[in-house]
Amino acid sequence: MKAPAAISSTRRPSIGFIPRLYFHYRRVAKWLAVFLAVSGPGIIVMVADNDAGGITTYAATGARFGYGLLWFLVILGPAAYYVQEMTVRLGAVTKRGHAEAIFETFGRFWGWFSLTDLVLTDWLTLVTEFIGMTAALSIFHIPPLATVIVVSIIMAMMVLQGRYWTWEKIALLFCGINLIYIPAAFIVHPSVSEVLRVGLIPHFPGGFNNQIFFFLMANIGTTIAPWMIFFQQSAVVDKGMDEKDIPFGKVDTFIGSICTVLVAAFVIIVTATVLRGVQIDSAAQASQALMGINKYLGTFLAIGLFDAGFLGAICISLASSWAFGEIFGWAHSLNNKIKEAPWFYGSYFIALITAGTVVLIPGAPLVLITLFVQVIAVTLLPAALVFLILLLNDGELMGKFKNNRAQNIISVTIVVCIVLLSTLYAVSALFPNLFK
Amino acid sequence: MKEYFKRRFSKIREINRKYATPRVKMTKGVAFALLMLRLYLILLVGILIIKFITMVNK
Repeated sequence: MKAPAAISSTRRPSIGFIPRLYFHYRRVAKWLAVFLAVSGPGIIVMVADNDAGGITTYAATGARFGYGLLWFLVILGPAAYYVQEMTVRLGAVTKRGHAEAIFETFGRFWGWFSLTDLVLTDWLTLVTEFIGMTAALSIFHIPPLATVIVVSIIMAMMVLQGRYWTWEKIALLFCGINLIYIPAAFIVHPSVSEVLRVGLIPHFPGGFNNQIFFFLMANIGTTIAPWMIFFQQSAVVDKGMDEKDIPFGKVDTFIGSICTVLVAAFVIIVTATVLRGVQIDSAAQASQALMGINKYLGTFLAIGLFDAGFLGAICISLASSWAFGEIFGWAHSLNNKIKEAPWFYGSYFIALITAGTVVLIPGAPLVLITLFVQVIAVTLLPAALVFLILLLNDGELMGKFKNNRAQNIISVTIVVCIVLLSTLYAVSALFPNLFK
Repeated sequence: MKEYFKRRFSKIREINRKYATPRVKMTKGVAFALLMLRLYLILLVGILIIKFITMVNK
């Protein structure tokens, strides 16, 4: 009897189709379960990025320039991804927030500079969130004071329940509501060919002037903001992510960047299709104008504006509180109860109440404040980005997760472009006739 | 009140002591470039604020 031939090491036993399919299904299901557990900070920060100021900027951009600046958003999406992806790596590897990382690596001078920048821009941006929320609910005849009080109570309840995960799931729910602009865009029946033809070819509608610089800056400022860097890194730490979760964090951030560009594009499409040439300075004004055209359209925009403001407010106030807590050594986690972290929650509420109060000042130029805050935030962004890039290039700190050459080139290009654009805007502001 | 501010400033002094020595020592050139960038950006923000005030007063 012939001895059986040895099974070659390259031959595998054949598996039926159904078991193979089941194996792949289990693998994907397991990956998805881990991803759903780890995801959150990236999607939240990117969708919250389309805050009240952002929606206002997009609404005004669409009304003023039509579809002409859609191409710019398509570029900003990947730029936002590259910046935020760096914070995922930094937070997961160092297990420290951004403020603490700067203090520890570069010392107290740069640390206080960065923290002061953050706190000021955060507070100003928080004011714009309240502006958006009160303006949105005013359309439904809800007085600003009532909005400020109710929103403050809801925000307090969200953070005081004592678990980061619960806060995150509620925030993700509001992120879902933010997608309301997508059906709104379908209601207006834009011409797809015109959107693609006009929107995706890089050009500057109306020429190279003061107004276009302002809107380009405002659009950058609403897509990449200093608070996002601090927020996502702290959220990654508070969530307990570590190095093995980085791939999931990257996918989370990528999905978030797609959502942010989609929502921004659809807001522009709505106002560009229906309100082109109309003097629109705010999203609330756009909502009111759209109410006259289509009740649902105006309502969707108003709900979206409120949601955007709320989402922005809950994230921005946390970004500052986390940063303070890291530096001052307070307990600073959403997993702490209020008695365990009184200063963390205290700073959160102080920022909330003072920002909400500004909105109630009679005669305050709220729309102008909203647009200018976006521009101020982007002007200060390079300072935050430079430190982020330096930290990501610290081999001792980051090990194998430090930036590669491509990431450095992209990041430095973003910094240079923002500084150039800020300079052009400042020059055009000082010498308006230069760019006519 | 005096005691309150004394406590707050002592915390800040403690933070300054903790982070007095940075882990990464920047060269003078890099530190100078970063400082110039910061001051330049603050100047741009100043221009923006002036523009904002001008627009509000119009």
